[in-house]
Amino acid sequence: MSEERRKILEMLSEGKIDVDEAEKLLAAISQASGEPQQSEPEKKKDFPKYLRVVVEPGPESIKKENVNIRVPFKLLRAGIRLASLVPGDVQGKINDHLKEKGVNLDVSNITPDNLEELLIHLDDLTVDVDSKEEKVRIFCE
Amino acid sequence: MMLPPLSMKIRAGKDGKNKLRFWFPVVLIWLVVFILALALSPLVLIVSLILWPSGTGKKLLMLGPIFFYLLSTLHGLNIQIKNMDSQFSISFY
Repeated sequence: MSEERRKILEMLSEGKIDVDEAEKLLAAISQASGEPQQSEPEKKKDFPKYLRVVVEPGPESIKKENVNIRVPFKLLRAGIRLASLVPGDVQGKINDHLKEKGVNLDVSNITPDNLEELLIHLDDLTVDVDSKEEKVRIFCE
Repeated sequence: MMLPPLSMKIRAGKDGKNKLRFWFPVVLIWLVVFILALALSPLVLIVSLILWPSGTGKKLLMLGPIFFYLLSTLHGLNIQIKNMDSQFSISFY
C-alpha cells in the first residue's frame, strides 16, 4: 500500500474526511498512477462486427419467407464515407424529401464523427417487430 | 492492409435442393476493375482538375479510394433468402 493511500485511510479513520471524499481521493491517486479503474473492463468491451437482419414468417404468413442478412459494420462505415461525396444540390433534395416525411434533418450537418458515434452506439440496438405475417429482428453481434 | 474479398459463394435451389452451387473467384473481377481504373485514371485526373474549383473535382478524385474501401469491407457479407419452394444465398469471403 502506498503512503498516500495509508494517509487517506488514516484521515478516514480519524473522521477528518467522510467515505465519499476518501473514495474520490483514492480514485484520483489510482488515476495519477495509471492503475486501471473499475469501469475499465466496460471500456474495453468488443464492438459489434455485424448488423443482422432476420425476417421470419409469422403464424399467418402465406409466403413463409425467411431472410437472413449479415452486414459487416465496416461496410456501413464505407457507405457513410461514400455518402460524404454526395454533391451539395443532391443533399438539398435529400433534405426536402426528409422534410416531406416529417424528418427535420440537415444531412450536410452530419459529420463522419457523428456517424461513427452512432455506429458505436448501435451495439445496444435491438429491434423486434412481431406481426401476424412476419417477425423482424434487427440486432448487432 | 484491407483487400477486397477473394471469393464469392452463391447457392440457389428449389424444393430444399441446391440446384446451383457456385463458387467464384471475385478477385478476377477486381483485377479487371483495377485495369479499367488504371486506364481511365489520366482522364479522371484531367476532369477532376477541371472541376476542382467547384469542389466536385476533389470528390471525384476521392471516389476511387472510397470505392476500394467499400469493396474491401464486403468480407463477411452474407444474404440468405428462403421461401416455401426456393432458396438463395450469397456470401463473400
